[in-house]
Parts: sequence; C-alpha cells; structure tokens
Amino acid sequence: MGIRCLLYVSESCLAWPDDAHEVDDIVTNARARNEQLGVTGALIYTRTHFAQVLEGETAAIDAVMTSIRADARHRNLCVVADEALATRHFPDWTMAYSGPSFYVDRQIRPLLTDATDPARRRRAGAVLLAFIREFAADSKRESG
Amino acid sequence: MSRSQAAFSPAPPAAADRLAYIVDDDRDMRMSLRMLLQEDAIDARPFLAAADFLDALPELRPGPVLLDVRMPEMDGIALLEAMIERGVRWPVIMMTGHAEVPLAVRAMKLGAIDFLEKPFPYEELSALMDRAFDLIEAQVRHGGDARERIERLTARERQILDAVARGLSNKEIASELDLSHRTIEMHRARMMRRLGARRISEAIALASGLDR
Ligand SMILES: Cc1cc2nc3c(=O)[nH]c(=O)nc-3n(C[C@H](O)[C@H](O)[C@H](O)COP(=O)(O)O)c2cc1C
Repeated sequence: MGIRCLLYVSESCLAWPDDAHEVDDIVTNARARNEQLGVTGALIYTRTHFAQVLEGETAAIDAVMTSIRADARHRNLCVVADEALATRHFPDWTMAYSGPSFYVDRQIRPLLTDATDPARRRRAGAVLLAFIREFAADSKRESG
Repeated sequence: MSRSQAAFSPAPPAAADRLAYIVDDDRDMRMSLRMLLQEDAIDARPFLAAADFLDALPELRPGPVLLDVRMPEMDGIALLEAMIERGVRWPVIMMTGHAEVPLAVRAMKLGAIDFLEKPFPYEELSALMDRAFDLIEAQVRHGGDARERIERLTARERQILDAVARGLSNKEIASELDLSHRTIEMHRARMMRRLGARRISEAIALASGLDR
C-alpha cells in the first residue's frame, strides 16, 4: 500500500493566552483520529504559525486534510511538500513543539509566500522537515 | 504558550529602564552587545560565567537574557536548565558560533525564544529585544507564582503530580490509583496545562520548589 508524506504550513487565527486550550483540543482530537486512520507525523505551533507533517495512506491523508483545510482556527494553508514515501519517518503522531520561539517561526514564515523560487522553497521545506523530525525525536528522548 | 504562566518576581519593567542580561565568556562580545543595546535604551548587565549569573539571579529583575551556548564550565544549555529549575522563565536568546539543528531544538524545547548565529545584524537583535520585553510584560500580567499554580490543581491532579515526582510511569500510576491509563493521561495533560508546564520536569521542579 502506498504511503504519502505531506508537509504544510499555515497562519494561526488563535489568540494568546486562550490558544493553549485550543491547541490542546486540536491535539487531543487529532491524536485519536490520526491513530484510528493510521496517520503519523507531528505538529508544531509557534503562536503565530502552524507546521505539520502527515504520513499515511492516500485516502487517510485526504480525509484528514479535508478537515484541516476547513478548520477556521488557521488560514492561508500552504502545502510545502506532498510526495510518495517508502517508509515512515514518524512512529506516531505528536505535538512536537508549542511555544513562542521566533527561531522556529523563522523556519516556517518564508514558506507561506508563493513568491519564493521553487528551489529555495524545496530547500526551506527540507530544513523545516528536518526540524520537525528533530523536535519529535527530542520529545521521545525526553519522555522515554 | 506555557510561558504565559511563568513563575516570576513581581515588578514589571518600566519602559524607561529596560534591563537585560548578557552571559558570555567573550569579553569583546559582552562589550559590543552592551553598546548596541544601549542605543535602544536597554541597560545590559554583563556576566562572564554562567555561575556568576546564577549567583546573582535571586536579586535580578526579570529581563531578557542573551546567552552564549559555548562557555567553559557550565554551558548555555546547562544554564537554561538551571534557570528553569529555579522557576525563572525570562525570555532567553541563545547565541552560537554555528547553529546545529539538534542544539537549536534542545534550546527551543527549553523555552529559548531565539537562537542567533554570531555575528548577527543589529536590526535583528533590536527587533528581537522589543518582542522579548513584550513577552516579559505579558508574563507579568498573566503570571502567578508556583504556589498559586499548584493550588489550581484538583485533588486528583495533585495525586498524579506526586506520583510523577516519585518517578512512577503512567502505567504504574494507573494501577496505584486504580484508574485507566487513558484517564491518567487526561488528568496529567490537564495538570500540565494548569501548571503552565511544558515538560514534566518543569512540573516536578515547580512542585518540589514548594517543599523546600
Ligand atoms: C493546525 C491544525 C492541525 C490539525 N491537525 C489535525 C490532524 O492531524 N488530525 C485530525 O484529525 N484533525 C486535525 N485538526 C482538526 C481538524 O481540523 C478537525 O477539527 C477535526 O479533525 C474534526 O474534523 P471534522 O470537523 O471534519 O469532523 C487540526 C486542526 C488544526 C487547526
């Protein structure tokens, strides 16, 4: 069965400090539904932006993305990468980072504009993906 | 977001005297940063070692901390951890010779707001300091102290915090309290949220800080 990996970024519509509870809700629901659908990956929240990786079967990714696209808690969703994957990079689905870091935000922001040229975009996407993977791995080390 | 509930000494910084801290073993770096910050009417107190900063910490007013990653003795990451253990959650900006992803991720997870690769343009630092002071103001407005936060917990959440502090896993807590694994997870997530803790070690630090 073919596995797909999708990376998107978006602008948050949530306002501090209530955003903490909203994000908790998103995570609780997403974790349950993703597990049911066999979707793995990770979510990052920087108070201004989201970035998320989703891995799974095409139908499952489509289903989740339909919900996510329709969600009013964020806007301006841009798919950065969407490609076939031989093996998963994420063992499960986690909230990989949530905080006020401008550094993390800087990895996301350039990907929201379509203007940047494709080669740079690909590179920036690869860097962001590496970050999300490292964040997820670091969470594992921490709780493991 | 969990910074919102950061533990804090009281007085919010007055606009007129914005105070920041520099911890860097490099003398030239300390001097040039001080001069740069002065242009923005920021008074930056320099420290040449992590230990000096930690010693002074109880007397310091909340302020952004510019922290060098690589220092002899105690490095920047260790200092950041030590600050968290003391319940100090001021905006920290890490500075490094070259940014490596795992190091940056470690710093972000510990709550650092930025990770700058030296040398960085002054405009970048200036904008960043403005936002760091905004964060401090927000923290002061919304922050409570550790005791206040612990008191917000339900009896069940306190039980779980106790058990976690004793080093028990969710599974062990579940059997000790005769609850399902899932229920423990739910209470635990709620407890973390109420404490404003991002990591379980922070929650434990908060709780243990009260007993001593
Ligand atoms: C940034 C963001 C990320 C989300 N990620 C997921 C996810 O990974 N899986 C999921 O099922 N729902 C996720 N959601 C929630 C969905 O948008 C939606 O609320 C939920 O899946 C319920 O779907 P429905 O409204 O179509 O029934 C996310 C929402 C946001 C704002």
